[in-house]
Parts: sequence; structure tokens; C-alpha cells
Amino acid sequence: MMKRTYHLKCEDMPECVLLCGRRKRAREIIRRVDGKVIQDEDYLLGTGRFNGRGVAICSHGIGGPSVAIVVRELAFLGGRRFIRVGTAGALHRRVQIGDVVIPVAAVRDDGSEHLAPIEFPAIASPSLLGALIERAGRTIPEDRLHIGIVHSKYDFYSEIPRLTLDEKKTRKMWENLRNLGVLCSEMECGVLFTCCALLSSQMKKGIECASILVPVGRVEEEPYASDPILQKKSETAMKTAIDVALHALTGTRSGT
Amino acid sequence: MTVRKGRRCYHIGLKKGDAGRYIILCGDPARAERVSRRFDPLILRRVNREFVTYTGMIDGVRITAMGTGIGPDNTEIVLVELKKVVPENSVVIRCGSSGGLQKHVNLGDIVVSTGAVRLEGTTGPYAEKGFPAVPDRKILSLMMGYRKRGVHFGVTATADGFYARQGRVVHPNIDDETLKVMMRLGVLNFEMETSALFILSRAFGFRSASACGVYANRVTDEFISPEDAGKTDERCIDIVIDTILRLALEGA
Repeated sequence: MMKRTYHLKCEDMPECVLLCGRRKRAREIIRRVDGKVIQDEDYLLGTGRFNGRGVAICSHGIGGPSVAIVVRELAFLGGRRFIRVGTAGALHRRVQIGDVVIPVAAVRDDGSEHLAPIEFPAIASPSLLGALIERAGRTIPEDRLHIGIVHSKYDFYSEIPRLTLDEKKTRKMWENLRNLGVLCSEMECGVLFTCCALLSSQMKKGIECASILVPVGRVEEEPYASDPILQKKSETAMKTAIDVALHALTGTRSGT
Repeated sequence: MTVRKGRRCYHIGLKKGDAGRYIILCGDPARAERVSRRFDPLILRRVNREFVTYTGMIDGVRITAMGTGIGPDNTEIVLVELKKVVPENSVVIRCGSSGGLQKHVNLGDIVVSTGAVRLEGTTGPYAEKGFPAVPDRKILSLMMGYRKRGVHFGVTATADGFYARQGRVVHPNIDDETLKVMMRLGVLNFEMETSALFILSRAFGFRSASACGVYANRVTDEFISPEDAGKTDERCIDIVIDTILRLALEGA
């Protein structure tokens, strides 16, 4: 039966959902799992099979508010496990463009106090996080894989401090985050993790979430690297990240 | 800063070598003493104000149990000073007590924190608003091996007050809205130290985790008997010490 929400529609929604920001990437992943496109308006949504399990692929657009719509509606349709694959700006000095970052938790600098008080921690689900780390460890060399806290922001252009209201304050913020070991900055994990905590509680069902990110630029320098060699490096890393995410999503049953 | 070579820290009264690299933090000094009864031998006991420290051996591993007194501000004092007298990457695990916020979190259960809500002012200067208070991932995943009845894994709320901050209506100006919001978000328990431990451990390079016994249930309004509280403490201490011994075995 075709089920509908305000922005999405889907028939036989699988429990496993792979999310990404861009429609183009979602289309590539749908092709990767020999799936079919179900909706191609606003968001791109498709389903396919991987590892013998059904998996949905959905674009979530840029930024928290859009993610909050998509995750809620996919959960209403039947989604239970969500992994976001996406890009980020490297923040910590040991993180290089084209590496892979797996967030344990996210700094909620993203306006998501509308979902939960700002003091509430945005954390990835331990079991899904564990599955991602286990899978990533098999294919990604140790020095290119980073596991830790990421920063989720409201304003993409805060990566370029001179474009913000208070340049000095913005630079101080980035430095403080580095001092606490924050690995990279992106725009969606804070909302994804917070929203799943809220949904789990409201729906009385475990809604699991995690993410895997590839830095494609560097905060305070260049949000997207212009060097073609670095671009190629991050494109390759993204393919690996998608593969890791698909395996982690479909490898174990929900709630285990 | 406050400690010179060979000198003792201002509040906790320790010098280098007094504490092991595995530290158990209790709010209640009596619980720290309870941990110390398992030491063989007990090597050191130091008391200054409300801060008590016991160092001793368990199965060949040097462990320190400290009583910090109640609250995130006390926790800060202990961690800032500990940093000067213990090796980098030391393990600090809280063994505490708390109030359950969900119906299924029963008296005598244990809550292991996967994260903490920062309803306190102590950590503000260290980490911006929205910064997540989380335990060390590897210690948490080790502790997740204790998936048995009566042990819960989830988010803990840390308050910098016992009464008003935790929604106990002891004055007409106070409401219990925050308490209800925590319940609606699925937060498992309320206590007064964990978020400070997590944020400051990130700042100072400790590896931390937190396990708390459930002494009260805020949904059913029940309170534990002194006898069951003691039993709960022993179970919580079992989990924490077992985690430390496994870490030591792995050389971590």
C-alpha cells in the first residue's frame, strides 16, 4: 500500500534507510543497489536491496530543518535505522581532506533547540555506531579513519569567518572546538541525532541513527577544496563511505 | 598553578603517585570507603574537607576511589587537581546514585550513561552550548557487555541542584517543566555529576564513563530502603571494578 506523509510517499518502506544531502548522490546509490526511484519531487526517494535486505535511499537536502522533516516522515512510513553519508569541512589538524569521519556525537550549533533543550546531547546510537566502526575498520586504514565528536552548524558560511557578523568570535569558536578535539564541521548530524532521540521516545520504538562523513574542504580555509587531486581523493572516500554505510545498515537486525 | 613539584593539591590533598591511573569517583564519601573495603592492600587514605581518597590494589591493579561530595562544581575541583597528579589518559569512572525518570527504571537498577544533559553551569566556560557530554566510546562499549536485567543504557540528566533544578516544587516560583521535558525525551535518570565528568574529561584528556544506581523513581514517587541502597551500591561497584580490571587486562 502506498503510504503518504506531507512531503514523502513510499510503498513497503524498509527499516533501513540511507540518507544523503544531495539528490544526485541519492540517485547514484539507488543505482548502486539496483533500486527504483519512488519519488522525484522535492526529495529523491528510492528503494532497493542490499545484503538481502530492503533499503531505502533518500536525499535530505541541506541543513537541519530539512533533515527534521525527512527523518520524521520516514520514521512514520516505517524507517527504523538511519545512516547519513555526507560531506564536511575538516576542522582538527589531524583530519585530512578525503579521510573518513564517524561521529560519536555532534555539537548542536544548529538551531535545534526547537527539538530538545540545547543541553541535551546529540549522540549516535551505540549499536549502529558500533556496526559502522566495525565495518569501516575492515576497509579504511587506521590513520585515515577518525571517530569522535563533530560540529553541526546552522550557517554554512561560518566556515568563512570574515563573512560572519563577528569574525574574531567565529575564529575563537573554531579554535575552542579544536581544543576539545572536534574533528570536522557539517550541517545535519546534530538534528538527525536529536530528532531520533525524540522519535524513539514518542513512538516507543528504538529509532537508531549514525553517520559517516568525508571532509571535502577545510574550515577557515576552503569549504570545498579546489585542488583536483583532493577532489578525486574525497570522491573515492565517499564511495567507500557509502559501501561501509550500506553494510552497517543491513548487517544486523534492528534492536540488537 | 596550584601544585608545585612534591606539593599537594589545594583541595584534594594529593601529590604525584598518590592516585592510580584507574579512578572511581563517588559523590558520597561513604561509597568511596565502601569501594576501599575491597582493596588488598589499602595503600593510602587521605581526607581534606569533603574530599576523601583511597588508593589500593585489586587483583594486582592499582585503583583509586575518591569521594567528591555532591555536585558538578565539586567534580570540577577534583578533576582539575587530579589532572596534575595522574598520568594522561587516566580512566575516571563515576559510581553514583540517581533518580529514575522512566517507569521501567526501577529502584535498585543501574543506569550506564551514553550521554548527559548539561543542566549545570560548571562546564559552560569549557565547552560551548550544545557541546555533547559523552563518555569514552571504548569504555562504554566494554560496559555494554553487561546487558542484563536491571542494567540500562541511555541518557542521564545532570543538574546543579537537587531540589528546584530537578523539578522538586519546594517553592511557589518553581515548576517541574524541565523534569517533564526530560521524561518526554526518554532521559533515564537525574543526578548531579555526570555531564561535568564527561565534558571535563574531554577537556583534560581523561577517559570517562558513568554508572549510577537508582535510589528513587520520580514517576512512581518511590524511594529505596537503606538496605537495598547498599546492595545497589555493591552491584554498581562490581560493574565499575570489573570494567577497570578488563581495561587493565587489555593494557588500556
